[in-house]
Amino acid sequence: MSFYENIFIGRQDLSQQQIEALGVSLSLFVTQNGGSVARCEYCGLRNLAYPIKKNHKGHYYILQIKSGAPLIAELGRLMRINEDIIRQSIVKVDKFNDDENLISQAKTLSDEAVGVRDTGYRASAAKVQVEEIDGKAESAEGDKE
Amino acid sequence: MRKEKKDAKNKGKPAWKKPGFQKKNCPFEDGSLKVDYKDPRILQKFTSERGKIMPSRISAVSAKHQRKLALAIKRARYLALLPYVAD
Repeated sequence: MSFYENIFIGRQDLSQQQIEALGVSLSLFVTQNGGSVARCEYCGLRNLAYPIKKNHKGHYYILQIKSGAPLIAELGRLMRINEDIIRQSIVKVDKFNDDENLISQAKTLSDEAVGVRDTGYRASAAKVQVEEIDGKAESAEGDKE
Repeated sequence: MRKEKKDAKNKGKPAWKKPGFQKKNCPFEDGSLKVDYKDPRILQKFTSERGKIMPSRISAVSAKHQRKLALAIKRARYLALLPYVAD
């Protein structure tokens, strides 16, 4: 038995209820076949960094599973067949983290990016600590104004 | 005179071998930051404007954490949390 973290991205035109139903059905499949699900959580509709199968947004869903390897292989096969799932990944982890938000709920990815991109390569070379990079970004924005 | 001699001694040496070089600290070493492929906000700080992984000689990440970071960024790219190419 190992710990696995499974993230799948559902098609953008599905509703949240449909995605949650899909997640529950997958976790049922795991529990019925000898695995256990520590957590199944809907992570919201997020902007994708690049379009996948003409989808620009996607519903993220996380399953934390404890099971053997054959069940994981079968789960992966089922997910690849399902056309509502545009992308899925299963990663073996040492232990599950208990953070509240599994995928950090940045307002939007692009909003968050602005602060970082302003500083670019050079600023980060001068300032190592990430907190300091943040501070610089803020002050740089202030200067512009 | 003595100073000139010293300068000549260090000429051509890489920066990290010259006296007065200060080692930077790895931001992941003190445990406040964690490498996690599900957290694009942290990972994004270690990528360039283009979306490339930043070399550790610039970001001062330790070799151990740079390996984990590179893997995490690649996983995040696959899940469309980070772009492969940002323009």
